[in-house]
Amino acid sequence: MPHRVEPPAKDSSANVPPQTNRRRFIKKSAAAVVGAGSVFHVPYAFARTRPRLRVLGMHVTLQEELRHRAEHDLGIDLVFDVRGAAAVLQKASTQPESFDVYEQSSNSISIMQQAGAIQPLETARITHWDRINALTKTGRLTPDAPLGRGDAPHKMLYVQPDGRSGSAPSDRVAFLPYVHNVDAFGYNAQVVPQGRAYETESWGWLLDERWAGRVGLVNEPTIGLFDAALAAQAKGLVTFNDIGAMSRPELDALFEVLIDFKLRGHFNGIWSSVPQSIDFMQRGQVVIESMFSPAISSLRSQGVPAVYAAPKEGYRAWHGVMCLSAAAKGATLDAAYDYMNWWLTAWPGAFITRQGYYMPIPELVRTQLAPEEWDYWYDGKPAVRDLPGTDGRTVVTAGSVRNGGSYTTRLSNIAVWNTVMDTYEYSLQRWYEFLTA
Amino acid sequence: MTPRPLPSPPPNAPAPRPRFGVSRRISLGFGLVLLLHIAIAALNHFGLTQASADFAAYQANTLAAQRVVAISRNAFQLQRNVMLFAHTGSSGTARRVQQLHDKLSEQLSDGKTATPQAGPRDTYDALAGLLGNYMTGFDQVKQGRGIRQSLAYTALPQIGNTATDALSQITEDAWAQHNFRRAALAGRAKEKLLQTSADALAYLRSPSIQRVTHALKALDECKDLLNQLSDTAANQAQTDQVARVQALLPRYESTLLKMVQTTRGYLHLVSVVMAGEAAEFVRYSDAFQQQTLHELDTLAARMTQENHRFKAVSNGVSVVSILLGVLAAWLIGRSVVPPLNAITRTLTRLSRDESETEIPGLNRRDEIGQMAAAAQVFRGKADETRLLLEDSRRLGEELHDKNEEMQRFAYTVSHDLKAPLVSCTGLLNFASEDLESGDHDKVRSAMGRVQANVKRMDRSIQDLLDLSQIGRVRHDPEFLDMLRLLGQVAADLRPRADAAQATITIANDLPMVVADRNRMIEVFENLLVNALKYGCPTPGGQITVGGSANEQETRLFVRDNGPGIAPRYHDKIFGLFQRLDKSQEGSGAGLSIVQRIMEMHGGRIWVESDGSAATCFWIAFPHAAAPAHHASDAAV
Repeated sequence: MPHRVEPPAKDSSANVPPQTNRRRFIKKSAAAVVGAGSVFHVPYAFARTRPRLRVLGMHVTLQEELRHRAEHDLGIDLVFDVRGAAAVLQKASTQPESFDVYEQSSNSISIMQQAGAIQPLETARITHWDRINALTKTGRLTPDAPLGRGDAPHKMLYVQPDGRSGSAPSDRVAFLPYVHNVDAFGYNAQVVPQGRAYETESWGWLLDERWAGRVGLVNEPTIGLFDAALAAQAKGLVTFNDIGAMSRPELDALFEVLIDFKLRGHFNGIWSSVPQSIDFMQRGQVVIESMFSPAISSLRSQGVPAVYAAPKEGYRAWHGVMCLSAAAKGATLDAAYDYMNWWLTAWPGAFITRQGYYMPIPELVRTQLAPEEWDYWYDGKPAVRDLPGTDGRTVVTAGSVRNGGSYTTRLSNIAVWNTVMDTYEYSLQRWYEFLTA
Repeated sequence: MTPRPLPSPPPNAPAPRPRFGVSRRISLGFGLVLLLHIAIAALNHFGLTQASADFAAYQANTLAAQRVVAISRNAFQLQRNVMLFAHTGSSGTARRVQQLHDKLSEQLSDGKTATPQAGPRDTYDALAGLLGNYMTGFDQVKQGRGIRQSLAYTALPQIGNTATDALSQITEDAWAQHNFRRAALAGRAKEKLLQTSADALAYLRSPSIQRVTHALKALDECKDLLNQLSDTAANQAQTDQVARVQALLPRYESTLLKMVQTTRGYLHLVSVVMAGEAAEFVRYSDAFQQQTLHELDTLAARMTQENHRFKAVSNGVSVVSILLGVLAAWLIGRSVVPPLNAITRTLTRLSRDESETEIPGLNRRDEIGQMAAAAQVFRGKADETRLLLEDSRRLGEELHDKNEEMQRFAYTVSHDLKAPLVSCTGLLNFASEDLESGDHDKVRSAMGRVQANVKRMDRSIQDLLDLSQIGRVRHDPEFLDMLRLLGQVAADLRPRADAAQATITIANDLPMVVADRNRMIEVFENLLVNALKYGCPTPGGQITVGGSANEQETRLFVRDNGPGIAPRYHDKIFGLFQRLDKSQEGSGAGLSIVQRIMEMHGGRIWVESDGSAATCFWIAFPHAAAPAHHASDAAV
C-alpha cells in the first residue's frame, strides 16, 4: 500500500532501493576478496589523516555495500549524500562547495556546467580512460548503430577550449561515464501477451486501449515524457521533428493526447519510485508501465512474469556520470580521482552488473563475473543456471534470456537519451497539468 | 330369595405414575412457548445489538467518508495554494499553506486515531507520509524561491547595476573625450547587459530556456564588446575601468545561471515532485474515499439484508411460536379437556344411576387416567350402592309378600286348623249331649267324625311340616335321569292311576336335570297326584309328562286332559291349602310345596290352561342358576 515516495530521478537507476540482504551478500563477497588479498593500491596510507570524500548522488550507485567496499579498498572515508534527482541537481548546481563528487545522469551536465558547479576531469588521471568503450565517446558501440536522440553523453563529454562541453575530443572531460543502461516498459506476461523483441513489442502498447485503466507511467518529465512521446509516436497520434528536442507545439500535441487518455482513466499509476512501480504491477494495479531494470528483476524473483520489453522503436537510454565539484582541490581532488578510478574496476562493475546495469569497460567487469553471468548479462545468452543478484537471491532463473539480446544489441537500439530539452520549463508546466488532470 | 351378585370391587391400587402426564405436557407446552419467547427475545436482542453495531459502524464510516472528503478538499486547497505561492511567492499564501498543512495533519491524525482497522490506519499513515514529503518539497520550494528572489532581485540587479553604471561612466567619459567609438562600444555593451537583464527578468515571468540562451548570448556579445572596448583603452585607467566591468560579468552570468537553475529546481519540485506527491495523495484519498463509500454501500446493503433477514427470521420465529403455542394448547386441550368432559359426563350419568356408563381414559397413564380410575371406583361404589338399594327394595317387596303370605298362611292355617277344631268342639258337645242322653250311637258317630277332623288337621299339620322342611333338608344336586325318575314315580302311582283308570305317559326324550333327587320325586308325585285327582275325574284320563331344553332353561311339563283350570285361579292354586275342588281328599298344600321346591332350585312353575279342557303344569330349571340350596339360607 503506502510507499516511501522518493523524489523522481532523471536517471532511471536512481530509484534502486538499498536492500539489506544485498548488503550481506556484498559483505561476504568483499570479505572473500579481501581474504584473497586486495588488488587495490592505497595511495593515502601515508597520510596523517584519512581523506574524507563527500559524494552527492542517487540510490543507484550510492549503495552501502559499495561504500564499505570503496572505503576498504581506498582507505578513505566516504560520506554519501543520497537524494532524488531533482534535489541532487538543485543542491549540486547551487552549492558546489557542499560536495566533492557528483553522481547524476549525463543530461544534467549542461546545467551543472552552466552553474559552474563542476570542474573538468583530466583524462590522464583516469586510469582506464582508453579502455572506456565507444558508446560514451561516439554515441555508438558499432559503426552502423543509429545515434540516439537527445542528450547523448558523447555530445557533452569533452570540455572544449571555451570551457563548454562538446563532442570534439580533448584532454579534459566534463564527467566520468560509468553506469548506464537502456530503459523501456515492462509488462505482466500473464495479462499482456508476450511479444517478440524489436519486432512486435512497441512503445505504442502503453497507449493500447486494451490495457486502459491498467497503465503506469514514471513521474518525471525527462523520462516519462519520452516514454509517453515514444508511445504516442508509435501509435501515430503525434509526430515529432526531433523527439529529443520537442517544440512547444509538439509538447502541446503530446499533452493533449496524454491528458485525454488520463481523463479517460487510461493511466492508473504515476509512480515516483522503483518500489512503487513494483507494487503497482504486483498488486495488479497496472499490467504495463514504464519500468526500470531492477523492478523487473524484483518482480520476477517474486513470481510475477514481468517482461522488460525491447521496443522496435528503440530504447530510452541513460548514462550515469561522475563529476568533480568546482570546489574540489588538493587531497580531496586526488581522493575523488581515486574513487572514480575505483568505479571502473572489476568488483563494482560486477556488483552493478548483477543489478542489470552496464559498465563502460565490460572486459574488466568480465573478470569478476562467472562465465554464465557474463553470458546472460552482457552476451544476451540464456542463463545456464539460476543467477544471483547482489543480495544472493536468484534474480535470473535458468533458461532465462535477457530480453533485447546482448549489450551491443541493446545499446545499438537507442531511440532517445534522457534529455533536458530546451522546452524543459514548459514541459514542467504541461506535466503538472497532466498530473493534476 | 336369590341375592344379586355385587359388581367387582374397583381396583384399590394407586394408578401407575404417569410417564408423560398432563402436568408434564402442560409444562412442556409452556416450556416450549417460553423457549420460543426466549428465542424471540434473544433474536430481538441480537438483532438490535447487530443493528446498533451496524449503525455505529455506518456512522463511523460516514464520519470517515466525511473526514476523507474534508481531507481531499483541504489537500486540493493546499495544492492550489502551493501553486499560487510558486507563482506569486506571497507570504500570506505560504501561511495558508502551512495552516492547511496543520489542518490536514490534524485531520489525518484524528482519522487514524478514530480508525481501528489496520488498513485505513496504514492509509492514514501513507497520506501523512505523502503530506510530509509534500511539505518538505514546499520548504524546498520556499527556499528555492527565496534564493531565486535574492538572486533575481538583489544579487543580479546589484551586479548588473554596478556593471551598467560602470559602462555609463565609460560612455560619459568617452563622450567627454570625444572618443565616439569607445562611447558607442560602451553603450552597446550596456545595451547588451540590459538586454541580458531583461531576458533574465522575462525568464522569471515566463520560464523558458530560450530566454536564458538569449540572455547568455547577449551576455557573450557584451563580453565581446567589452573586449573591443578594452582594446580602445587609451590608458591604464580606462583599461582598469573596463576590466572592472569584465570582472563583474562572470559573476553576473553565474548568478543568472544559479537563478535559472533555482527556478528550474523549484518548478520541478512544484510541477513534478510535489504534483506527483499530490497526485499520489489524491489517488490514495480517492481510493480511500471510494473504499469508504464502498464500505458504506456494502454496510448499508448488509444492514438492509440483515434487516430483511432479521425481520423474516423474527416473523418466522413469531409465527412458529404462535403456531406451536396454538398447537401446544390444542394438543394439551385435546389431551385434557375431552377426557375431563367425558369423565364429567360419566360422573353426571353415574349420578343419574346410569350404571352402564363407560369410564373414558382408564387406559391412560396420567392424571386423567388417575381421575378415570377414581371415577371407576366411584362407579363401582355407585353400582354397589344401587344394587344394594335394589336388593333392599326387592327384599322389602319380598318381605312384604312374605308378610302377606304369612298372614294368608296364618289365616289359612288358623282357618284350616280351626275348622276341624270347631267341628270337633261341636261334635264333642253333641257327643256330650248324646252321651248324657245315652245315645251312644250318635256318640260313636260324633266321635268318628271327630276322629276324621283330627286326622285332617294332622295331615294339614304334616303338610305344614313338610313345607317347612323344604330348604332345611338339603341334598346335593345331581344329574337326574328324569325318565328313570319319573318311571319310578309313575310306578309308585300306578295303583291310583289304575283306580282312576287313567294313563300316565312319559316321554322318552326327557332332558337331564341337575336337582335334588328326593325333591324332584316329591315335585312329580304332587303334580301327578294332582293330575290324577283333578285332571282325571272320569276314566280314560291321559296324563303326559314331557320336557325340552333350550339355551336358557330346561323345561318339564305334566299335562292332563281334564276339565282345566280357569286362568283366574292360576295364581291362587299355588297358595297354601288352596283347593278348587274340595270334593277331593287333600290339604291343598301340594302345589305350594312344588313351588317352594322350584324356587329352592332357582326355577319356577306356572300353569297353562284356558279353564275349559286340559291343564299343563310347567316347571323350568334355568341353566345358569344353581340350585337354590347353593344360595344363602336367608332366602329359604
